[in-house]
Amino acid sequence: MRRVTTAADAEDAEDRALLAAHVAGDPAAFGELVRRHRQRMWAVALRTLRDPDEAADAVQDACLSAYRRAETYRGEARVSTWLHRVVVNACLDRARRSAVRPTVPLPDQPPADPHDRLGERETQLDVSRALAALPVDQRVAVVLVDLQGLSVAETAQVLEVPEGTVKSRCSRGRARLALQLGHLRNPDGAPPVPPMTSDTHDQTDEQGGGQP
Amino acid sequence: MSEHLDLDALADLLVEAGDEAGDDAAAVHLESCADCRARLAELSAALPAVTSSLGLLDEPAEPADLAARLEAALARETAPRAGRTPDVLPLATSSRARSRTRWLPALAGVAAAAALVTGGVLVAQQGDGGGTTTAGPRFETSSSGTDYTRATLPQAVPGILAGRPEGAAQATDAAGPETLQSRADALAPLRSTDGLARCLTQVLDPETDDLPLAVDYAAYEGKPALVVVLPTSKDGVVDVFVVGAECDQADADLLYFTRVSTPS
Repeated sequence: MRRVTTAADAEDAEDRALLAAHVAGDPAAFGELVRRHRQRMWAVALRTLRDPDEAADAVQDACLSAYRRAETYRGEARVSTWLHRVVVNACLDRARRSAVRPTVPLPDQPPADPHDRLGERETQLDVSRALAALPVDQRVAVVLVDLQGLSVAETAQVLEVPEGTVKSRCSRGRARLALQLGHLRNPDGAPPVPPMTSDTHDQTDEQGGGQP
Repeated sequence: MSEHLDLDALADLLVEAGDEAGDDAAAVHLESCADCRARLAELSAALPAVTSSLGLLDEPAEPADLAARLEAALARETAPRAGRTPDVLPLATSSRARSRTRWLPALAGVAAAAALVTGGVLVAQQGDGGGTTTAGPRFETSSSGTDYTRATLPQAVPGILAGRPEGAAQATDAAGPETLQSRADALAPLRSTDGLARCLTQVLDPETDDLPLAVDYAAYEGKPALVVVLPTSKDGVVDVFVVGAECDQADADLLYFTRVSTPS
C-alpha cells in the first residue's frame, strides 16, 4: 500500500530528526514538524469532526499533546503515524464530549473552487454528507485509509486495533456510503436492506482509547 | 439462520473479517439464500463507485488562522513547561527560571503607574524598579479601552507601540463609560506587578531575554483584553498576543495571536 516507500521513508527520517531535536531542546524543531504535518492533521480532524471550530480545537489539542509527549515517542511507528494517532485521539475525545449534541450537517466545503462544474459540486457535497453520517469509528477508518492513503497496517497502528477490525470498519463504512449515495439499489424481489443501526452495531472491540 | 444478512454482515463477508461466529452463520445463510448472494454481489459491484465518489472530495482547505493559532498555542506552552522536564531541557530551564524574576523589577513601575489609570490614554513612564536593580528596559503601556478586532488590530499596532493607541476616543463613544469601566475592572488583576509578570510568563519567549515592546489594556471582540506586543528576531516585525483577563492563570487565556510588520 505504500505507494512511494522511499519518499515516505525519507520524510519520516526528517520527521524523526526534528522530533529528536525538539526533545533535545531545539525551540524551532517542533514548529517545523507542525508545519510539515498541519494540513494532514487538519484534513483528518475536519473529516472526522465535521465542524471547523471543533476540528481546529482538536488540531490544537493534538499539537500540544504531541509537544508534551514527544519524549514518549519510541520510534516503532512513523512520526506521521504517531501524529495521526494523536489527532485521531484528540478528535475522538472531542466527539465523545459533544456526543450529546445533535450532529450538524457538514459545513466544511468552503466556496474554494468556483470553477467546479455544478454537478460535481453537488456530488462532493453529497459525498461529504454521506461520510459525515457514518458512525465515527467507520468514518475514521475510511478517512485514514481511503482519503489519507494510509495502509491498513498503519491505520491499525493509529487506531490501536487489529488490522481485521480496520478492514471491517472500512468495508462497513463503504457499504453504508454505497447505500447513501445510491450506488446500491435493491434488485426486485430482494429483501430491503435492514435499517442501519447506530454506532452500537460496530465491532465488539472498543475504540482504542490508549494515548500514544 | 433465517434472518437475511444486514449490510454490515455483507460488508464483513467482503473482507472476511467479521467475528468468527458471525462469519460462520453468515456463510451458512449465504449458501442457502439467493437473495443475499445477489445483494452481496451488488454491494461488491458498487464499491468502485464508492471509491470514485470519495475521490471527488478535495483536500479540505486549511483555515487562514490555523497556523498562527498553533504557533501561539505552542509559544504559550513553552512557559508552563519550565521546570517540568529539567532533565530533558537543561539549557532552556535556567533561562526560563530566570526570565520571570528578570522582569519583576522592570514591571514594577509600569504596573504601579497603570494602576492609577481611570480611563483614556495613559503612557506609563517606567520607574527604576525601586532602585534595587539596574533600570530595566522600558516599554510603553497604555489603557486605551479600544475594542480591537482581527481586522483593526494590525493597523493599531504602530499606535500601541508609540504608547498612543488610535481609536481610544471612538471606543469611548461606542462603548460608553460603564462598558469601559467594567473592562478595566476585569483587567485589574493584570495591573499588579505580579499579575502582569505571571501573564507575560505565558507569552514571552523564555528562550530570549526580550521584554514586551508595549502593552495596551484594551478589549478584543468585545472581551476585556491585554494586547502585548513583542519583538521578533526580524526588525520591523512584531508578534502581537491578545490575552484575556484570565491571563495570569495557569493556562494562559489567549484570545488571538498575529504577527505584523511595522514600518520602522
